[in-house]
Amino acid sequence: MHDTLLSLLRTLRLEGGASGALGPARAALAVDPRVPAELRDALDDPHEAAEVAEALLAMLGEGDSLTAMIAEAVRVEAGELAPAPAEIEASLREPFPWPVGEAVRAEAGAVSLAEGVLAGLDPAWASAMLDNALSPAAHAVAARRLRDDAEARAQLTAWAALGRQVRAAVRAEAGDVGSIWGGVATTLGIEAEPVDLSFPLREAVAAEAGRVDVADAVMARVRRASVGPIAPVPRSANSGWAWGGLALAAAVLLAVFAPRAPLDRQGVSTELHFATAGEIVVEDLSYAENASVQVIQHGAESEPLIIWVQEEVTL
Amino acid sequence: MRWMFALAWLVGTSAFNPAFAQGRPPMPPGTVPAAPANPVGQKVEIDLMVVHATNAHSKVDPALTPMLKHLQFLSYTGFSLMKQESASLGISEEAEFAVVGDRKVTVQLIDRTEKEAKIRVRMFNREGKLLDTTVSIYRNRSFIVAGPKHEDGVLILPVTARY
Repeated sequence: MHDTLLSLLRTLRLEGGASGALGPARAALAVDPRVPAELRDALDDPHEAAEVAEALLAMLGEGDSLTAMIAEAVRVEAGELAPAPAEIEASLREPFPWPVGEAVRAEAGAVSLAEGVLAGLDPAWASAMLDNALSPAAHAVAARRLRDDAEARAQLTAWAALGRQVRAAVRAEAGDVGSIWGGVATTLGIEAEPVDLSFPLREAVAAEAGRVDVADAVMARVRRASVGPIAPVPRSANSGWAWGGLALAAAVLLAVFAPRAPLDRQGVSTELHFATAGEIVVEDLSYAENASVQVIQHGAESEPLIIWVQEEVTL
Repeated sequence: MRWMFALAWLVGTSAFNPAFAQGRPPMPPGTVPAAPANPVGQKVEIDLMVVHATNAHSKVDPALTPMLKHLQFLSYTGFSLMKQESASLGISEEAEFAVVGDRKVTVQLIDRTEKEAKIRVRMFNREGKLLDTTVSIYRNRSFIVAGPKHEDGVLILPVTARY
């Protein structure tokens, strides 16, 4: 039965109301007083027969992507159908004498599937209809659905208004984007309408951003174990030998004639005596990658040796 | 007159010896190195001062007056002693000194002779080890570790090995 129905629908889809397959049906309906007048009118419409056949084939899972989407939406809306029992299958093959259509309509009353079908559709479907991206048959079905759904029409109108607002906002914010608008529109998947903007984009961005100094942020990531500038850089310890000798001699004199420093309870001087160059040796030295170290001795050899550490050195 | 000869000898020796700047100056024959005035104890007293040098003021802590002449080349006007700590260390022992600004300094006594002590000094900040150095320094002598920034100045840490 399924194959017979599919074959009939395919014939009607191709031939429309002029199909010879509708001849027996017209003849039977013309004399059957139970058939409503609108059904006879529908059979007389040469285009509607093809559209209805198209829609029914879609519901049966045959057709383009749009109709497949509609069929899927109808299936979701209708839920899973249990297979008919064998006795029902058999009874369907026999002539059906009762006016089933009237009985069902009287029992069900007014039923609208449009809202449920549209709710189950991908939003891109409606957008595609607006962009004339659907096949003629699909567009006709979609238009019919929209015609009956005021809420959907309002939604599409709102989308269109939003698109205009977005384009206007982009133009106002970006300035002269005439040369790049085509690429942006293509990326967004919308039509690249011609724009006439004379505001210089580059200057606008620069004015908005102000002066940006990225040196510190960049250099903070380029850390090396190297010597950076130190504000008070004393002279290296590797110089001034001759003066150092004089200073050492002076230190010897000072040690002899200077007053005694205070002593702690062990008899050790509590006053600081900085080691001269000859009294201290740096035997090993290492430091962190983000630091620099200098061993320095300012001025005379009697001056203290200083291990100067500078943290967070950047180049 | 003997001092004049000694002075001349010292000047001549140090002026023409490149190793003098960083290395140990050679001792002339028959010269006794700076002999310690006191017998060597079992422990070495490590003393660490934390001095804050700044240009925000020109006050000098009275406790720092004796060493002020050694700090004036640093181009800072104010010096304050923030803390001073000591630890008595035997060989291989280590002491930890807390320094301001989430920093700390550890000092380990590596070796000690009658004349000098070998100490390992490490400085840490919140990111890890900043400095690791080993120095041999005459007993009762000091040197300085300096440079870490603190507030609007720098920290100066005189380290003394006293025994």
